[in-house]
Amino acid sequence: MRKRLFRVLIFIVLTVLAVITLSPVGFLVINSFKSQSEIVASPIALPTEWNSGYVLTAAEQINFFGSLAITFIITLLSVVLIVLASSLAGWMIARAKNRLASVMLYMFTAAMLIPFQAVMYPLLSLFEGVGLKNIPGLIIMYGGFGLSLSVFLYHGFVKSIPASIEEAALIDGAGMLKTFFSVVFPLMKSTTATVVILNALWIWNDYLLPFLVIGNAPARTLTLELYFAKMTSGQFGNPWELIFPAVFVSIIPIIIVFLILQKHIVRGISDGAVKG
Amino acid sequence: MSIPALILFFAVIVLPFITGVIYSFTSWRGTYFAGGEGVLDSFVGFDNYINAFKNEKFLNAFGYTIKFTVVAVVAINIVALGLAMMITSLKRGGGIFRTIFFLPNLLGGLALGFIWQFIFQNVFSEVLFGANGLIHIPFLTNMLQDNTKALFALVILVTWQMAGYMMIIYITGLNNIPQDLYEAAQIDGASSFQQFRVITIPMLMPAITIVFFLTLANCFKLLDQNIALTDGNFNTRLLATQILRTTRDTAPPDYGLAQAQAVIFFVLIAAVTLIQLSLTKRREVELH
Amino acid sequence: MRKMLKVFSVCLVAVMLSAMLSGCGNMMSTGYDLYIFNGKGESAQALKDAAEAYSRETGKKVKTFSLGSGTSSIDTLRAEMNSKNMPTIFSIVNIQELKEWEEGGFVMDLTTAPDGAFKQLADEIPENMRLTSNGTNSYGIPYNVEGYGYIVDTRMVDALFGNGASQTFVTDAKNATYAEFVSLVTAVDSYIKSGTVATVTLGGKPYTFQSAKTDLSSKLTGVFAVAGSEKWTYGDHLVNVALNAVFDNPADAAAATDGQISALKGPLRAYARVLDMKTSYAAGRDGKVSRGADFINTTTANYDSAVQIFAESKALFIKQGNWAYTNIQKFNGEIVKTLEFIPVKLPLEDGDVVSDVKTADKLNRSISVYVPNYYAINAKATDEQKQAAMDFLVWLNTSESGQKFVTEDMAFVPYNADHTNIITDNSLSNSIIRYMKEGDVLSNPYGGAPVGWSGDTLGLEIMEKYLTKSEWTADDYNAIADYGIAKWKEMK
Repeated sequence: MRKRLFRVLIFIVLTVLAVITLSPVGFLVINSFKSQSEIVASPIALPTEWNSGYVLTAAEQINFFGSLAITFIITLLSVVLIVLASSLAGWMIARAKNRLASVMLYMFTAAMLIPFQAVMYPLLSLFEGVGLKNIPGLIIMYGGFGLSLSVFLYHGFVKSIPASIEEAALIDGAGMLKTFFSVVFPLMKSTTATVVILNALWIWNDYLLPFLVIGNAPARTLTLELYFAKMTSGQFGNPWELIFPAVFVSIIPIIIVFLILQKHIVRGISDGAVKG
Repeated sequence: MSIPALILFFAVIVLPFITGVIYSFTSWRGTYFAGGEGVLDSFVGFDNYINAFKNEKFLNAFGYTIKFTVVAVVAINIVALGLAMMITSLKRGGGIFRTIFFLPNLLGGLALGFIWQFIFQNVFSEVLFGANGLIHIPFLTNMLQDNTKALFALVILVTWQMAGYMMIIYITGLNNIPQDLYEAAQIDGASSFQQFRVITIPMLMPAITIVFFLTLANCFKLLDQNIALTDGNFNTRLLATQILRTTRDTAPPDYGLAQAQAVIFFVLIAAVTLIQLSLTKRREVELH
Repeated sequence: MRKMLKVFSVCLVAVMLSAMLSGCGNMMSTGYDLYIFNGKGESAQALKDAAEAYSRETGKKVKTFSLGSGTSSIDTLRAEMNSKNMPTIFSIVNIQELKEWEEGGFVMDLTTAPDGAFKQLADEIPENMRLTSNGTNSYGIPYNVEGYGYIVDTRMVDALFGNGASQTFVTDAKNATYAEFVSLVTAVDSYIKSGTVATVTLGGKPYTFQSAKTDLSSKLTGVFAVAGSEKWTYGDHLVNVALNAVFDNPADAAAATDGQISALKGPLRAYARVLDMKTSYAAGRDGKVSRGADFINTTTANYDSAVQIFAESKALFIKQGNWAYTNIQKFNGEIVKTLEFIPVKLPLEDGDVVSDVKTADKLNRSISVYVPNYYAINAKATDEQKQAAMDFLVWLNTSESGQKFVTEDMAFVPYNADHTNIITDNSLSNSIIRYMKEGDVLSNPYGGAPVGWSGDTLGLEIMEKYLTKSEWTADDYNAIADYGIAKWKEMK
């Protein structure tokens, strides 16, 4: 009985916290349906009428479907690159018991701490020099920046699984790559889900790097479109009746993707629980 | 096998960073080298480093960053672990809560800063904690207009953003603790707190290592949220903001100085996080 | 798991291939004759249209890339300057920003241009509007001019003082002394509060309030719409009026001697008094607002909310520039038709004005009109590219079709408007043009103050320490002036 009461109490606390957590999102949603003067005058009030016109205008102005496709392709390819490169590297580093491996791990880990501004211009010059100041170059840059954290996560996971399974496959005559993809990679599902989500989120929302690399190209990502839409309305004011609905529509896809992948994360987590 | 990763890593991080370190010893201006044709003519030795340590704004940002990071790391960990423990103790409904608490991770960009300004300046300062609000708590009003209060405002924002992710790591960790350990402890008559101290914390060490590392690195590098909330006003610049703004504080833009600050910054966080990693790792090993 | 391998290799090949392809694409040709990097985001579309019209007329291909002002814009411009495909025309905001491009050898001195139409265009830039680091060189063709002062709605003037009052009010308010202006402000304040009917004198002419408030005048909650959280409004623009007492243009300010900086004491004290006066009669959403924590609230005391308060006729004046036109229009399409500028007046004493070409009277009847952006030509471009750039700028600024884009599509006030007979659809632009014709304009010396001195230092100090403080004393005026002077000397 006491235990049950305790659970109910926890449930209430969590519900309150959940409402608090969601309130900023609610704020975004309600202000996506208001006019500029309504937003400025009464930001926390509900809209006097739920006018979807602002959302539609914003979607049109940021060229929603076009920029969505570009953002999606960039995010997808970057994440694939990160997952492949870092899972392999994380696995190798965890399994190799030599000094080089630990040096590499420390290098990857330390790189997580480099502020972006410290590499910004040299990186751009380097990539421009080899003709990569474009979308493929952007994807490669994301690949590089995403590596550190991902290698770190994969390495941590591989350490926790016994090497005996892959050794069996290797003895059976499978090559390294085949062993990795048929035995090790499937085991790392939960880590992969995490790596995918973390990197996808960051790449999806990033604006500085696309700005510097493909800012003047006609193909723009969602964040670039949003910036350009904001910019045309003057240097001082903020066109909130455009910004709120535009941000709102641009996060819908990522929320949908998250809700789909969420099942994998949960499964990954429970897999881990069984194994532990 | 790790060759693709190494190539990427060298091209995107190592080479540009080494170049950047070299530039920190020059009077680089972003698009050219002052005082000569190339890098070598523009060499100024340790001048940029000396100037960085003489720069009041840099020193301020240095101290403020350390203060902020300590408070934020503690706050995020407590909240994340608390949420994780509450959720794992539920029989049903845990999945929904997990999703909700993770949601803030999905939000970024332009509107976020504005939303939070409204929360602190409007909702906190008037509706909730203002003089005519629900409960009057002066500390929670006008938080963006005071050096100390702004630090806690920033902590609230990053906790909201990061705790959900860290919570997931802790949930995984908690689920990995064998239940029979707790059962045995209960038979021995251990209190809940004793169980927490003797079983939960030691068994969670691997998760704690990761969470500490992630929060440390993220808090040290925090930039967008700092700009969004106070834009460095009231002496609230964090180091990343300071580096970014150095090029705006100077004309022509002193990229050499900014680069030197970035290197100092890197050495600092690398030292702190690596020490932290090896400390928690050692504990992990000892516990096993 | 074969599938995985396949996906992997296909992806890698795809990335590599597209990298190579686009790499080749870059090397083959740039595909344009002229590349313009535009730092004024608002005019992005208009400039693009102008470039297309130019292409149709001349057959030259022009690529434009526009970004708003701000950190990411200047970062991107620097990235472009590090690149092989540098822009040939790029924009420079002021002489502080000029420093890096001059030192790095990126800007062409227009006085060295070959004789011809472009040389003539460059030579005809009015002296005070030149982008110059030493007074003789000249590095940019102005985009346009912008101006600011107290914006007033003439319908509101009629509502306060009776129909027809606005016909003389604008001129009389322009010529009024500081004392007359202050008595107007306090009289309007008590009229709002208690309907006290008084007679005020402006430029020697009496104005008596209407005994009954009209629908319009009863909306007023205060005299000024103030954006307390926007440091630039008082840190840059308002202080600029005071700087004009000592410096005649940005180059003067950039070359300031210690003596000149010390001479700012009187003007800066006057500036502090004006700011005190202005912020003591601020309009709010539902009534007068006073200095305090709410006064610098970034969500309720920002640019947008101040503009909205003015647009909803809750304030008589807002100190803003013609750039606010579209922002005001968004809230109230009617009010923008009847707007006028009135100069920001300072309580200057004799001897405060050090500049040889100005008097206190002149300062008090002038509004600040200055060039917000310049087109600069990249000195590292080829001669051919430079020629294309010069041709385009001549076309834009002298040809009929080019000027049409400037005045209509970009909605700019041309920098040489005082020599033309342009009347625009924009009430604020027309007001600026009138001031230019009358010769009552001030420059923007704050653009030559040490970088970060105005908004980020003096403005910040005022926001953090003074706008939250209810009473200001003479000591505060002195402290503000001393702080500004000390910081300028330190940052120089």
